[in-house]
Amino acid sequence: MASASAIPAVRTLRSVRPDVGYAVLGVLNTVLSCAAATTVSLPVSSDIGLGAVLPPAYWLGVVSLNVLFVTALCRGCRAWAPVLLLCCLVVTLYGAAAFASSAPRAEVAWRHIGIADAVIRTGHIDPGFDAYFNWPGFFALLAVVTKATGLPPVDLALWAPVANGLLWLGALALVVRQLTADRRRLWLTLWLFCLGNWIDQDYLSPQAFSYFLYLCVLALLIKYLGAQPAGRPSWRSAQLLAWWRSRAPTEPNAHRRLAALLVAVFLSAVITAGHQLTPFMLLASATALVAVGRCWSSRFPLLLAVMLVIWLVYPASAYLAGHPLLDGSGMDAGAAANLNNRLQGTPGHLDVVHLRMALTGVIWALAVVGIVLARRSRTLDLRPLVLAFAPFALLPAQSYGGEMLMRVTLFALPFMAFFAAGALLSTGWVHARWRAAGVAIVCTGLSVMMVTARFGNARFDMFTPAELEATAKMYEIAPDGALLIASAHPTPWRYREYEDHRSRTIEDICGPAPDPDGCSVLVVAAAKRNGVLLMSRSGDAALVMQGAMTADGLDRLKQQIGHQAGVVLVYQNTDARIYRIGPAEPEGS
Amino acid sequence: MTRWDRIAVGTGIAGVLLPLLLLVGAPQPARALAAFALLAFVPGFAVTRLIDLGSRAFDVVVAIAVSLALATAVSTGLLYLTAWSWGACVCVLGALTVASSAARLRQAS
Repeated sequence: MASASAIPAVRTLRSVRPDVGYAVLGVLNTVLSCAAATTVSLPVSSDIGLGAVLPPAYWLGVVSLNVLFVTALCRGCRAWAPVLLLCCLVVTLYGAAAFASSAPRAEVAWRHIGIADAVIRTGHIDPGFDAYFNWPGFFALLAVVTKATGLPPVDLALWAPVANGLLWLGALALVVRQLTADRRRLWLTLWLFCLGNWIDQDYLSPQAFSYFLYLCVLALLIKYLGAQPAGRPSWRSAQLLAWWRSRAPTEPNAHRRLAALLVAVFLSAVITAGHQLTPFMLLASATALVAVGRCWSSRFPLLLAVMLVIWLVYPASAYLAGHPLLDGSGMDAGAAANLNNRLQGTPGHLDVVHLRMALTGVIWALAVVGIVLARRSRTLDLRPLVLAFAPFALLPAQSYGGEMLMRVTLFALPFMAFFAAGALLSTGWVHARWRAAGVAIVCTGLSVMMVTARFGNARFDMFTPAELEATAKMYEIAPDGALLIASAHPTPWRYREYEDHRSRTIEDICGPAPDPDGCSVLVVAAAKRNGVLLMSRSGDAALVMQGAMTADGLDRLKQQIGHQAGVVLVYQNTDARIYRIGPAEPEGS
Repeated sequence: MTRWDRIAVGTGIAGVLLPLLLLVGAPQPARALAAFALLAFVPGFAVTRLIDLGSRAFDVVVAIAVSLALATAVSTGLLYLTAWSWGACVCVLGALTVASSAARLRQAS
């Protein structure tokens, strides 16, 4: 009896063991990689960034994770194994910097902490101060989270990329589940999305939060508000309209359709109150779905447009008055801001920029192959196709401070990854074992590229304790109303007293490639005898790496500033110097 | 009482207890856990139970999205009303949770 009852148990063990094995190995690889990342010493000294200084054990963990995932994918396993491996990937890739340093990366995250701090201290918003206060939704949320959890905002910022990465994957899984019944394609799409996301917008930011909501709205639109037209479209206008009108809802339950519409409208309203760009992306995507007859609610884009206009003309009117909506529009302006201005700097920095372009190029090329294969096999789904290309409609409309191409890439990525996964999993072109090996090699290559591209600015966007100490000192030194000047934007500042000080950088004041002698005069003049200048290692590295100034020019500038009348060196440590710019002392005093 | 009723009652109780726990200043890590539960899951879960999307995966992810969106909307609203305080914000979220749970119970009965 005992042996007979043991047989099902043995069978269960046999069926469970591979999944458990993948999970255990996945977690071990993550621990290995993360432990290796903690051994990185700051500051990062390479122009290639964190990728150049991560130890081999980190890369071993990354390679093993990819091989494990592809093995699990090809052998077929229960859903929880790929989910766990995806979580491991997010922690390993997105958390690498957090394991290497206890300070959040990127200056913007520090600035966002400062805005939430201003909200907490003042309890109101001043739309005239800057753009952030015209779209305050995320900062209002961050203020509540900071106070309610009692956690230091710096810790929230440190782990935000991992938390946002997991949230994005959850929402994206809902979207992709509606596009394919093939679970392998679902998992591979999510994996490729993680590997293609070098864009680095998942830090503590309105963009990261609104992108999560954006994906949730798309999931609701596709599942509950989806539609299917009868037959194929005709290109004659009357027949095309009849075809479009023939669409029937894919969700038969009218109550659920209404509930989903209400939730989608509410989430869209929150997106509109929280971020400048995402509502326009959502409008483009929803309109595209309606236009191809795959969204039942044709009024949703209209509602979204009305909300957008209302927000722009009332709560955001203060910002809009000085910043026309189509400022910097046109292909030439967009290309100059998005490409030309980024293709300069030191050779190492240029290598990283080229790697980012190559990584996006590989994903897009695979997506094109996927689209062609799907078209050949007559399985091409219009929904991911229009969602992949709809964000590009915004490219000529705004340069978005030179970041529009990056944002378009981010919004197109889920659907590019979906088609790329289709290409990698397409059957018939090669033996299954070779295909698995090919997928593993592609994923491993992409993950190495991704880590290098994503953390390619680590030399100037990862901060040392000495820099943090100097920034804190700067706020102690700065009198009320003093102008704060940093060498460049990558400086861990503006995290406190946000609304009490104006702030500018040397690049803002002097423009690109300035003459050091003239620039030193301009910097002192800009301070109007009440300023504090912080020259930090990260800011200096940014100026040189991004081609705004040569190393010699920067040395000359530092010398010249020190010799200006009224400029006194008041603090210095290994990574920073602080100058007080006050009234010039009378001759002979 | 059905399973769904019990869930609605549990969610409603959480809507009362979590804000209380935060307002009395519970020690860490209980405070952080309670705050994340209230700001990032419970109110949205009460709403998704009420509207019944019929998919467990959607229930969970949309609950997180709706909770965070509710927290954002309430906090932003209080800011524009110049009546912002984090305590008021968590109380309103708790009240919304209780109201949604009560509506769900009424719907079920």
